[in-house]
Amino acid sequence: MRAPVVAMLWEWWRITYRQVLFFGVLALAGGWSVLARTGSDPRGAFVVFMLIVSLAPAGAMAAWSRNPFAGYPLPLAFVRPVSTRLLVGVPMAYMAFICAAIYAVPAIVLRIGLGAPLPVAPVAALLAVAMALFCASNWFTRGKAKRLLATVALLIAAGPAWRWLNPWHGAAGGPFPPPLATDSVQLGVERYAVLVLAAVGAWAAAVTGVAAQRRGDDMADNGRLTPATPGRAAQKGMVEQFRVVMDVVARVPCPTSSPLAAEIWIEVRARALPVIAMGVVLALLAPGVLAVEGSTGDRILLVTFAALSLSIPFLSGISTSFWNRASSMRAPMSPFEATRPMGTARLVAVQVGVAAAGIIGAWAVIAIAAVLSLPLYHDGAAASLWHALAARPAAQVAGAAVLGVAAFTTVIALLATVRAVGAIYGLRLWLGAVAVVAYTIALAFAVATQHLSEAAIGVHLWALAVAIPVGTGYAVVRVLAARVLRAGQLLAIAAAWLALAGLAAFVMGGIGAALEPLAPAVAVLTLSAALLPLSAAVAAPWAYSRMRHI
Amino acid sequence: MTNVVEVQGLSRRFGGTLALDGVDFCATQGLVHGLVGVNGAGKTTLIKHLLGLLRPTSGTVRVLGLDPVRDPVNVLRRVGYLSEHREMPEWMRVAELLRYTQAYYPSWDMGYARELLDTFGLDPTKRVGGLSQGMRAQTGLVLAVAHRPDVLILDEPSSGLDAVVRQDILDAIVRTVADDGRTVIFSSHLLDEVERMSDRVTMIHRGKIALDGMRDEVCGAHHVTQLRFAERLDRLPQIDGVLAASGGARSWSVVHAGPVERLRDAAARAGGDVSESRNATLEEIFVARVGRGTRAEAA
Amino acid sequence: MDIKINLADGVPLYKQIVNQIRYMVASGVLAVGDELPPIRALALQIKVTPNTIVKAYDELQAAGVLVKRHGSGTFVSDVGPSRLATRERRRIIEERIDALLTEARHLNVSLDDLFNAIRRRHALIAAKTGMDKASGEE
Repeated sequence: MRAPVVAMLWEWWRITYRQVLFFGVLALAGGWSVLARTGSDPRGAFVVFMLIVSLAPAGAMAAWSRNPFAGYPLPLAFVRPVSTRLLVGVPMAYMAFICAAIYAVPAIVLRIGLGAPLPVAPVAALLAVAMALFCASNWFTRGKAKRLLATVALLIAAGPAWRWLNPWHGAAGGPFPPPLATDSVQLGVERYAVLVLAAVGAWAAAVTGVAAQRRGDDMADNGRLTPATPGRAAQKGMVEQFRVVMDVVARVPCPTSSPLAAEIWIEVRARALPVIAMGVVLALLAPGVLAVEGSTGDRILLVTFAALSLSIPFLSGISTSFWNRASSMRAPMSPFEATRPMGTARLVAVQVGVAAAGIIGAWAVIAIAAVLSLPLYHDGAAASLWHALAARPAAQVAGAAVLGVAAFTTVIALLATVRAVGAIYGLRLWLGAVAVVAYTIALAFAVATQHLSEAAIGVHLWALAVAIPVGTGYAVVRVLAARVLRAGQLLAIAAAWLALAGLAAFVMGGIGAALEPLAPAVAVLTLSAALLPLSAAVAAPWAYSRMRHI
Repeated sequence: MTNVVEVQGLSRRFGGTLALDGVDFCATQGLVHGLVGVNGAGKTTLIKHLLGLLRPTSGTVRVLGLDPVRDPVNVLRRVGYLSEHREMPEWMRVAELLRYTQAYYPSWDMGYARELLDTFGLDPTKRVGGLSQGMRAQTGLVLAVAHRPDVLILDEPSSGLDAVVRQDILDAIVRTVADDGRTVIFSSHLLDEVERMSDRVTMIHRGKIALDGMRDEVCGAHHVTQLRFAERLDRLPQIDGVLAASGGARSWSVVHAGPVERLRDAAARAGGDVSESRNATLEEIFVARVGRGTRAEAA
Repeated sequence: MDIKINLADGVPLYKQIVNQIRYMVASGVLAVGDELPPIRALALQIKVTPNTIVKAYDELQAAGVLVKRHGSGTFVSDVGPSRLATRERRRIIEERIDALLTEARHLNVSLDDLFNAIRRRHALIAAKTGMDKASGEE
């Protein structure tokens, strides 16, 4: 291993090979199993094509899913005697190659082995260049906002670029999925030349940015050179920025009357207030948006605004905020949190409750602002909304609102559970989740292309319907055995769930929904899904306790 | 004297590696317990079991008579803990952190906490994220002792700190024990610190207890003895009880367990003569027991 | 109270404290009735565990050097400090002589040569201190 390039390639292979092999094998196995059913049907080949094409970038990105560094992913390599051009070029070429290979190798094998008409070279080239651009947009700066902007800009540019590249030469306009042929994707010489230029440009941009990181000009908002360095702020995301603002605005002293009050205080300060602040910012924009829309009426601004509002959980990092506490491999929960003298069930209840309340609060603020500014949009809009609401009994509306809050809290609790289980089982869970998602996609394709019989669909629904109560029962047994929940607490949870179920029945009855017209499997699954709040309330404390006492 | 911590047959496996292997450990009320061992020997793993942060693969852990995994609240309320990395929320101010921590401990003594802040010269309006390493350690120390815990557990409290802050930590240990006989368990790689500051010493090596006893007895049971030989020797011959040897030719210095008389007899059989002997220091025992090229396995 | 702990010489810590307090009493640095620092204060000062100080004080009390008065503190006892002084002086000198004899044996210096050397050094030091005194008086 004399040459630095060889050493670097070896290092990157060592870091990524598990995911690369996993996704490669998944693509091959998935493609093989679909082709085994569809035989020589070129439409089946298209399904396989889409499957492998979507797995390739997913696999390449999965290789970096656990990387804690912002900007260039291996900043520790900055001390090596290698030029920045090489430091950026080798990994970028590697990632591009990996992305292309996860597609190309299964495609070639399936083409030779089963005669599937899969195009190879143009698709691999497109995937490789897309990956290089993605790497560049993620590596060129440590600033989170700049990286986000770059990714968004790339996505926006993808549309016109796709139109100009015009790679699809297969059947168009017919029924979905279209038949596939080896020449369905084609690129001319000048197209290839432009792709190479794009890759070189991405490399040059990344080299400039990484050089700044290397000489310390771009410490930006991320001091996390080594994970969990004391004395330095951990990843400052958007949440952190808002927290700084909120810290000045709301300096309510921590209540010392009870641990529960203090725990709520810290969670509200750390998690809910920043999200609500985001909601307030959007709420302030609402009148303007509605006024502009009212005069132009092309809806683009309105759709963007709604999308932005709905994505608050993601913008605030709520899906990842349960990760913020992760410290080291062997202690997924920060000792500061884990050594607090508070029961695990209460801890998780406060965290989930406050997280859900924060997001719902933000949405409520936006909704109130939007409703108040409805007259700016359309004169009759407010009146017709009130009319629609007034047509329903007040109890029904209130009940629906309560159910909505409960459902959303359930989702957050399930997310927290997955996060905790993920912290315990790490890569294994991740790979398992990917397998489940891939299976679901394959299933959806199979259903869409009518390759799956009614009976087979029914089996899946029944399996899911049985899995929820069985899993819930298992979690109940485990929490009681581990004494994470006392019998009294469990009874209270069960009582709350019964009340919710009664409310759900009342609201459903009010809108005239009934189970009878549904297929038996769907009806049972609906009933079984109604158990989910109970499942989440039991599973989350259990998973957190496993993480706390790992 | 009562045992506030009792660990029996504790084993813990991380994947394929056995981090702790049948560890027995007791902490007696009113004593300072020093845990020593090379990096990765299992000190932190043992400490995390005492706090319930890790679940034993086998064996039992009792702190104040309770299982810290099954009953974390009642154990943690009476324990003070300073971790090696001193994790604290970066965005809080020191004063907020004190108030926040106070809420969890009915026995919290705000007067004592303020007094310690003053002694350390810490500014309560500062953000945790803006503190230096030393200030962080001091803040963590205040959080660990201000509720006057029955057991104070410090994991590598001195790592990465300057002499001034190290003294603050040693003072906190002395105060904890001197005032109403509470118990301290601390791990350290600074052996002179452990020798000064512990009544009882436990040496962990590769997940097992290599040595455990009262400090004076441990040190009294090991000697450093000079041996002289009539002829030049390239290697020291096998002598019973010798843990490690240095020197060469006619003059050798050995660390050994047991009385000097026994060594004198053993050395005489190998043609050597004892010239001088003294008690070994903890560091000498440590290096002899767990260092490279020692004869610990043979002994 | 000026107590120095030396970890390198292998003497148990409590023993080092015992020896130094004995020496202070023998040499008059500590007089009859003087109060010793409380355990906590001395432990904080010399950075050892309080139990080490307890052990040292207990041993000195058992030897009659110190006396604990209930509720007030630990004091230098009045039980024959002069007798203690004689015994302590002899002990310290004998320790040094033992070390000197060991060294002499290793260097093959005979006992007679050793005596001669001691006398020669004594004369030299006496002359020197005499001169110092004379120059000091000038």
